[in-house]
Amino acid sequence: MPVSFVASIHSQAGIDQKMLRFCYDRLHSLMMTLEITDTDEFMHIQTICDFATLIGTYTRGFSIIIEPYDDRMPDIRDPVIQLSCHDASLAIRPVFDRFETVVITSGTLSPIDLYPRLLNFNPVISRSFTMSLTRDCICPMVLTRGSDQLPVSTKFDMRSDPGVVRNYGRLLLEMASAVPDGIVCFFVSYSYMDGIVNSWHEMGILQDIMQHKLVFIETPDVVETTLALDNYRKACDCGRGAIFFSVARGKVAEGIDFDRHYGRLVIMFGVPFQYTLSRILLARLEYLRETFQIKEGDFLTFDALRQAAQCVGRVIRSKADYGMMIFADKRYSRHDKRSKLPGWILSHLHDAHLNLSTDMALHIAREFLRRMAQPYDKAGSGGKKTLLTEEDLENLAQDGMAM
Amino acid sequence: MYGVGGGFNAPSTAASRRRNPGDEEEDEEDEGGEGRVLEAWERAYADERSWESLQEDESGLLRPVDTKTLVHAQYRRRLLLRSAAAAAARIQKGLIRYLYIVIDLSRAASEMDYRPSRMAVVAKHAEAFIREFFDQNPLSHVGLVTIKDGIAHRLTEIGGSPESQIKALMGKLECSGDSSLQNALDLVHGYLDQVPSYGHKEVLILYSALNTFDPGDITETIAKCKKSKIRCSVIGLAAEIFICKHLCEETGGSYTVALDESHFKELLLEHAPPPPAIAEYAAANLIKMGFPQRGAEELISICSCHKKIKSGAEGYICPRCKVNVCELPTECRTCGLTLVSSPHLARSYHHLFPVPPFDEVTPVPNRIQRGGQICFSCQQSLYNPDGQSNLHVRCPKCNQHFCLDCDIYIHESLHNCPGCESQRSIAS
Repeated sequence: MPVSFVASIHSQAGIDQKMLRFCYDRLHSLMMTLEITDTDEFMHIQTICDFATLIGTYTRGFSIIIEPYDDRMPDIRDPVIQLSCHDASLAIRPVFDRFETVVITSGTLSPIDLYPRLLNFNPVISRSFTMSLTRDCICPMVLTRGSDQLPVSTKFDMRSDPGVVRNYGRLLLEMASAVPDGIVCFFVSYSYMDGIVNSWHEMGILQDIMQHKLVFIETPDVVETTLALDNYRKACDCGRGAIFFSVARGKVAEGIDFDRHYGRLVIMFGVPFQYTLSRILLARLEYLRETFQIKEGDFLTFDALRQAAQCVGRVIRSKADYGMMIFADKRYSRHDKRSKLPGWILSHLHDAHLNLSTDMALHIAREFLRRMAQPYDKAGSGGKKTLLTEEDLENLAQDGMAM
Repeated sequence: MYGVGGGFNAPSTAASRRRNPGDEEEDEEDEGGEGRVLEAWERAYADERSWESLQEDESGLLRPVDTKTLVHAQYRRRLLLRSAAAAAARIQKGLIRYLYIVIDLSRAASEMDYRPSRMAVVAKHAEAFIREFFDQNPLSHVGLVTIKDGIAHRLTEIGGSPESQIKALMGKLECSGDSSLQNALDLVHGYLDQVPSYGHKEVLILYSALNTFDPGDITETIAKCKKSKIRCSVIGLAAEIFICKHLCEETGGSYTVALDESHFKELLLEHAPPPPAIAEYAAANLIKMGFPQRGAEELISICSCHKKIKSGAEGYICPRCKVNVCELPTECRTCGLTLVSSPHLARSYHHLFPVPPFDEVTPVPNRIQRGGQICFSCQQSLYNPDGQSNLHVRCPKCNQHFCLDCDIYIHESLHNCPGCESQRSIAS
């Protein structure tokens, strides 16, 4: 806890809380006075001052975690001090203090009732909208079985099962042969991705996939990933077709769009739960339970599904676009998981698409792609209006006044 | 009609297929030449909604929806669309077309989502298309190119005879390897570059694959085609591919993707009528043409196309150099003169002056309209036995009434309105 950490600093180094709190301001004014422009060189001391100010300011909502060993190499001493924030409401509070009206919008705010609790405020209005589309241009599917009818999942006890690995590989192979241009795949973690790509290579599935499309892989290295993305786009542009392997919660999942032909299909392999043994997560779960009375299970599911929605949402960025989404895990067919997906996905998730096997999904994909390739009326005739003119807006406003 | 019928006559079609899997003709006959309709068990039951093609009549009996009016409504929509485009501007049409049909015979062509395979379906309809194409564009030329193992290969030289093209295509039906759009375009570009400037250069690509394995930068090839004013159109069999769309947008062609076999046929036949001319060619220029005559019976000569001895009655004599050719239209091998016959020119004529679309006459019950009792063309009554008039149409020029069948026949095949023609003959 920061409090005890501050206390021990006070007793051992003689620096009290107040002094810590002003570290950031002091460094800032010092650098202004000395007219230092090359701030990059002082990045590390800035980090330390930020840290000091944070622990000096907040007594709740943070925790300090000291890990003496790296998980991967438990024999070598490699101490890391981490300051972790558990309380998202701290970050949003200045916004609420300063402004009278705050509107929070996002495509992945679901379930919507959890957010007020996490951010610690009382919403005046909370609404979840569906998308207004001229045509059914998204096609979410839940795939629970491979072609051999065996369930697929990334649950811990199943993920290394060769049957599951093979079924996932067959799924990707079939889809690569039926979907044009770009396909994006998300895995639950780097280590899982490494493992499954290795197995596919040994089984020869990867070579078969390469006959249809080129394969690019995200790595923790930013430069490498950017290069891979660049080449992925080139391969989509020139008609060769490509697949991008990426990790949920990674750089690509958070900020890169795969719109139009850069992403006609996204496959989410597994449910992206956080690594439950991580100390930071455990500390945060404990804090949420004590402070906001949010159950661990609820939060984990909510977080995983939010990430999944975030990942699959990468493929569709406009009404003229179209894309398919496959949730490949048997756990998605359970209601408690599925219902936490955002409304715009759920409204297009037909009951017939909830429990598919690979061959059924392939059939649906082919039909969908043919349907989407047909020319369509962009203005949206036939009573399904999706773009409002100025007149329509005025009419709406008048209706609102009359009510 | 098909929604219900397809289910009942299924055993016979299935039997015929089992009896002789390669025999396309037999299949055609069984299904009345309408293209293959999916069998009831092959359809996704929820999507097809076969129950909606049934309606209840007054006495509560189920009967299929009146397909005749449906077909006619579809046809009218197409016709109006076409005439609206023509009315917007007096479009010049490219009547002399040089078309290469590129058929993708890569690995993807062996997929079975069209039955028996994509390749067989493509070949079958390409054959029908070549015949239809020459019927509508007697002055045009067609060549065939196939893509196989990543290499484009010219199957036939560009020429005016449908039979030789079809024969060459049917003899070479096997597929393997990758497909390469760039190789095909490069090859076709090389051949079409030599075409005289009055000809309209076109490529029609029937693409089964979903990707292309190219040796170089395909965008350069596309730019090259654009520069030589080659109009590239693609019909995809599976899904929309970005590079194909890009190619068609750049070169002014059309890009369509087939939903099923009948849709594929429809899309293919849309390419048969001549496309609007590109603006740069709008300047009219004169083309020298020869109208050869049939040779005399006793004249024996060696024909220039097959190098065989033929009597004069089997061929035509080029008016300039007097060489014997077997078929028209063609280009004289010796002097390079374009040889046609006058019926060919006349058959191209209707594209420039189409019959105006007829107005629909809404049926008025229990009142006899003047001149509305019988169809002017086939002389059959326009009334049902119960005294109500059927839906029918009227020519806006001569005000004669026609039944729906004649309407389609006049616009699709005859290209002349019998009412207007008879008025003209009376006036003269």
